[in-house]
Amino acid sequence: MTGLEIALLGAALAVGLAGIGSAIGVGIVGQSAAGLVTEDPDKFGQTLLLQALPGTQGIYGLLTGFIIMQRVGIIGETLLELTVPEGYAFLMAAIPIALVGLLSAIYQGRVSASAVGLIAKRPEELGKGIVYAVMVETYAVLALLASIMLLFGIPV
Amino acid sequence: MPIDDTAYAYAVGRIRALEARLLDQNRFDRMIDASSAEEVLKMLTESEYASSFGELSNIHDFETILSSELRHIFDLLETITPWPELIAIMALRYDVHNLKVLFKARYLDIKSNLLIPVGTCPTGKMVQAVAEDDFRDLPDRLRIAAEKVNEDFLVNHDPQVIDLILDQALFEELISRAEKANVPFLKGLFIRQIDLINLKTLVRVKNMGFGREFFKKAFLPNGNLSFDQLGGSIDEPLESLIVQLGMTEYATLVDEGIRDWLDRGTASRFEKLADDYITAYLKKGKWMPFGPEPLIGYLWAKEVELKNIRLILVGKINKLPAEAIRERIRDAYI
Amino acid sequence: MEIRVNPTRMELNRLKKRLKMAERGHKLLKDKRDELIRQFLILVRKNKELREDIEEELSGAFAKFLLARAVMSQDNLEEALMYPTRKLTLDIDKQNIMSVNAPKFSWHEDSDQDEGNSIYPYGFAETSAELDASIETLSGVLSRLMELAEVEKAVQLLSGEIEKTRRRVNALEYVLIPKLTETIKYIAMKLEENERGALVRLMKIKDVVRAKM
Repeated sequence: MTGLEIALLGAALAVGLAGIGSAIGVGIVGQSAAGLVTEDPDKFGQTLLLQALPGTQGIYGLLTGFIIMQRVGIIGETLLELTVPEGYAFLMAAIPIALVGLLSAIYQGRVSASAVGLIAKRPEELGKGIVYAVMVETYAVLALLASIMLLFGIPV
Repeated sequence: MPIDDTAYAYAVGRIRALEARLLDQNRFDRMIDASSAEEVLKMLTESEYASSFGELSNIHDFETILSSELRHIFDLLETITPWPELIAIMALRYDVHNLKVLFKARYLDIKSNLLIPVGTCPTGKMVQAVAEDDFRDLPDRLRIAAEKVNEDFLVNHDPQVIDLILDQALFEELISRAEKANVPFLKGLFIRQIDLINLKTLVRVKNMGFGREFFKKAFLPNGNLSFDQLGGSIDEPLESLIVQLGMTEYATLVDEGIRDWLDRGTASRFEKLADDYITAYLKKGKWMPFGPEPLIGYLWAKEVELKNIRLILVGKINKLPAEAIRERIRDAYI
Repeated sequence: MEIRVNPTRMELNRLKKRLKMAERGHKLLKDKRDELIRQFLILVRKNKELREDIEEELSGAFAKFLLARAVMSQDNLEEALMYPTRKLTLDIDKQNIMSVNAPKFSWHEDSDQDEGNSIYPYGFAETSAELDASIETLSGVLSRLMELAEVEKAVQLLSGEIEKTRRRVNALEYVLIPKLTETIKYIAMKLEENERGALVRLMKIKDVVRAKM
């Protein structure tokens, strides 16, 4: 593999894994919300908010992917000629958001699904449910931060 | 059990909404304080039961509504559960009830309308099975038990033995199914139910004046409390049992329930506490975001709720004092 | 009272005999009535005791049963009690109380039930312990319930007999006996009158005969 290919693998992992995580997370909340809304259609708006929460990891992954593409020149005029170690550097930089995005999105989905249960009983406590879910988000944000810092730190 | 617990997301979400509509202690209190059965009925028509109790023309027919509610809960759980085996396990009790009814009807040579259409085996098939002595479609333990019932009754003609044999088979089946499914929570539920039934049976057998041998016939195995642990108490005062169980998880229940039983000669307190004990156990699984626990809990909660409604209605129709009703009302799940 | 009899000495004797018989019958019936009442009172007292006893026990058993009913579903309860553990055969004989045919019950348990079987026809897992107590009471009260039925029927029959006897006593005392007494008096008077008439006639004849002489 050339350096460029390895870097692109990094981008693919960032977008792919974080995206899978988000898809699963959003899916779980969606099922849970559907169960609730079956019995109580008025809760649609609130549950939609909760469902959207695990979706952010996918966006972070995409953002990281874009940055890699931009840094290696896929977006732009000139494609960089990367050495293999440089390629690995990009791959490493993508790993934080890829892994943390995958897992945190799933767990955030579970927390959000629980929060769906919470608003079933106490609709007025939606805010607290969101706070719980957002706590998981913190780590996705930290991972994103790490990935971005790493990406901009790679000297090419 | 499905490997992925998030398969329960939909079911649990739906249960959450349904749980919120369970009748709470407050509402039961108000129903107990109602001046007449009609007033209770009115309160029920303002609750989750509006549609079903709204159609009730004669208050004495409330049982049909309660049983159709039960049927309804099973139907609902069957449609939402990602793991149909769970509902099959929970419905086994009703299969066994139907078996008992059919056996007794057969020996009496009558037709019976006491079948509960909730079991896993359709009632029509069950009728045929008993009529033709063909129990192939039943789970193994029940099939063997059914054959045993047949043999025993021809010799002894004791209707009690029908119940004893089938109850034993039922709980053995429940434990083994829960084990096979690898759901410790469910097994824990059955173990506790077995222990509580055994404790109750012990006192009842003692009060009836039977000995250890008889208790053995009625004893349900697989509980946490073994026969050796309980069987010895049959010839001793119950006080020693209370002391003996002081270190188990049933300590407070036994201490309060059996003492009250001894003092007042009625099992009402014990039975209430036993049901509450199960409710408390199931409440531990109530907030599991995924998994079968909330489903099991909701089913129990509904069964208890129907029990409470029956208690209040029977009490009000027969003008029992409010206190007699209140001391028997089971704790609500919510 | 209209009396239509031939005021003859023969009639008088006949009536006197009847009166005597009526009086004897009256006395006998009165004795019978008194004895009936005595027997009746004994039975009524027994009936009352039994009834109060049984009613107290039954109402206790029903109260317990009601509570068991309240905590068990109807299907479960009926299944539990569906097959009776005991079967009784009841024979009805006659017994004679003061020539009243009262029924006499005797009963025995059918032998297709084994001795060792308990009186409780149900298992323990699905039934409430509150059911046990009411079944026990009901089972214990059964034989006395039969006794009560027997006594109550006897009391009923006796009271009918007493009523009948009293009517007869009254008929004798207030109708037949006074009527007979009156008739006897009437005949006696009539006979006396006839006698006096005959006497007067004789005296008259004597006077006529004496005047002619």
